[in-house]
Amino acid sequence: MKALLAMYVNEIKRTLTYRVEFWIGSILQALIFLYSAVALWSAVFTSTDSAQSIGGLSLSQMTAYYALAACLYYVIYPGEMGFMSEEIYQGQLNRYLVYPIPYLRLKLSVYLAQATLFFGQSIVIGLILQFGFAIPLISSWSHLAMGLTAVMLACAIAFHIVAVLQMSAFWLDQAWSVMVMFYMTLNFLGGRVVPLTIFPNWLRSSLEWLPFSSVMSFPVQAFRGGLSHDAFVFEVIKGFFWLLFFIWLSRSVFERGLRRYGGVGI
Amino acid sequence: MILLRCLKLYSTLARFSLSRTLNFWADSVLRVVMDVLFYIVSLSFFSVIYLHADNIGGFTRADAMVFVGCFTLIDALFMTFFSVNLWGMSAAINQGQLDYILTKPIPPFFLTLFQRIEFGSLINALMSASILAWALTIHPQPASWLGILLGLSMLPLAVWLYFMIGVAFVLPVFWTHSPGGFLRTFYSVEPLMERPDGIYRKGFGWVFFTLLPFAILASFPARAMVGKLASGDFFYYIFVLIAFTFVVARIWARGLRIYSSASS
Repeated sequence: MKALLAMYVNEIKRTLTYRVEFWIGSILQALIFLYSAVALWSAVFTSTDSAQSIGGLSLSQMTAYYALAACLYYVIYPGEMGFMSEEIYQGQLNRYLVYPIPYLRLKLSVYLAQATLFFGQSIVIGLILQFGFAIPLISSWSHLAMGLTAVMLACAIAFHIVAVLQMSAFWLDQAWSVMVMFYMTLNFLGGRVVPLTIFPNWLRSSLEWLPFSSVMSFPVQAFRGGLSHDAFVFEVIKGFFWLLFFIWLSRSVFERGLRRYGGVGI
Repeated sequence: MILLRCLKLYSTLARFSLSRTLNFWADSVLRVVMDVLFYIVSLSFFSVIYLHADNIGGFTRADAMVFVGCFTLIDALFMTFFSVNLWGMSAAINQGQLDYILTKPIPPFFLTLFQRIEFGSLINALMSASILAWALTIHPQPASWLGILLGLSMLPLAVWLYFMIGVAFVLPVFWTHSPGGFLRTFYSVEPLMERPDGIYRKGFGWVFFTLLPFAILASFPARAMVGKLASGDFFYYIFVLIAFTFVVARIWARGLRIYSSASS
């Protein structure tokens, strides 16, 4: 536990070494994503003069949705997981194998350090949007509690999905293209680029069962109060199912991968 | 003379790149699959959005399909000729690999930016060209042949402009010494190119037509191909292209002056 804590603290220090990149990069990305989405939906609402809402969301609700998606995206996907495939590919995994701590747990502590920093940053961005730009992100304490639960579950699922994909480096020369495919799918089918309510009904009912909605649409909807009590409980149960599945999958893939790992540099 | 030497070197580098692509063929196959997914997502995105509107930022559904063809083709050509060089650029500056380039009797700007070609992505360029051709075929009112030719001639310019913007995001690494410059930011801002320029014409959207001209990259060629390009827009496009190339070359020259060679 002490070692994991040390890894966690080290990772926070490492990230904060490049403060300018950390702050400018993330805040700019969040604001540009939000600007682009709001510009697009403003144009859509302008085009359909009579529409008060699209997919059950008015323009201001749509703005709040995208603002939350912008804030939460980097908490759930901090972007430092890429090193796992690099470590496998370049043989740096060797040193971790002799550590007395399981590799996946070490990586989890690194991921949590990143997620913590980005969560702190999201609070700052969220406060600016809520009070500076009057975008109503969270309306009650119960929504805040539901949102925090959802985000923790989403982080746990996301870590294990990304770990499985990164470990494809045991078999492939590079895993980055697999990651890009995953992010494209997540963004589109998970509800980051388009809220799931915008999709036609027949497609939406299928998308809601996939893990992508548990890691993006669910936390956003929970924070903005878009879920009834029953829907929230259902999402939590579904999320736990996916979490257990991906924990099992990540461990199996790691064990299988190790069997064919060549250990470059040994 | 220098131009001839550069061309000769480029053909040699292209041969190396081709051999590398053939060696790492699985990676190339994955790139193709990845881009196919990108095309599916892009077409599906606009199909879903146009379920709720007839006209977005001056683009009808048919215009939007031409627009998708344009930005996917620009992206595929960028991936083929420039993306890998852009990714390697910050490492070259940060980790001192630029030393090796500076000792060569060839302009370092050229050697840094044209080292590798990803031939695997050419397959994607063909696929996105097919999307563009299909979109123009099904368009109820495409532009004249002259308009389509104008739009097509703007596409290589768009690839170069896209690349220059990317380089502008990496060059601060000379001063910040951070691992990737602002490349991550570049890839976050870059999706602005994948939306019609008409949606950015309010508020501070002017930034995306001037300082970060992502809005014009694919929209202007698409407008030319559907007969909606205003008369001055083409000249504005050329002006932005020249201005960006000039500014990037100046920043590069300044960066080289303070380059301290990390490896020595």
